[in-house]
Amino acid sequence: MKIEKKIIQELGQLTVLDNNNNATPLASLWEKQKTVLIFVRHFG
Amino acid sequence: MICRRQVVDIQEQMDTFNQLNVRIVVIGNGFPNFIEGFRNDTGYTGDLYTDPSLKSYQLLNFKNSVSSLLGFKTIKSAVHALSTGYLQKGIQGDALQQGGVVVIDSAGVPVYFYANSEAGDHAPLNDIIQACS
Repeated sequence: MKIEKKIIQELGQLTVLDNNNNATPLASLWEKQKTVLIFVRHFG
Repeated sequence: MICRRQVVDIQEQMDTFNQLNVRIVVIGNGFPNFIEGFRNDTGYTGDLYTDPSLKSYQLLNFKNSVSSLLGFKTIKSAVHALSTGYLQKGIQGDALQQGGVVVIDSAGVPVYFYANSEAGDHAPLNDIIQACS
């Protein structure tokens, strides 16, 4: 499976929340080093 | 039970990822106050976030349907998860939402992508490590 860089650029604009409800832009996660994003189904 | 097992498997390889200078980020879709419970249950020490809006899941085109819940791989990994002690507790988040993995380099270029086909289907750990090497 492939995904376009354009989609990753859009992804980087989105934010995720930490346990204190603070929003973090996704792009900030990978700007310093290669990053593995693991999207899990739920916290069950 | 199934998604926890995946995170435990990742945790076991954390030294490998650290040596490769790769950051591991787990993203769920439940409420933020469930993050610590998930960390305690899995022993996961890496970054942990949540996207209750599901926008990131939708952008990556991860499946969200009843048909993706049950299939052969679901049963196979449920047996594996049960046999290794990872019972599913209450579901926090969208029960129909599937996940996946994307590896992104520091220039924002995707070097690996995997969308789960059904519950219990995960990116092979060796493929993730290879994409990080």
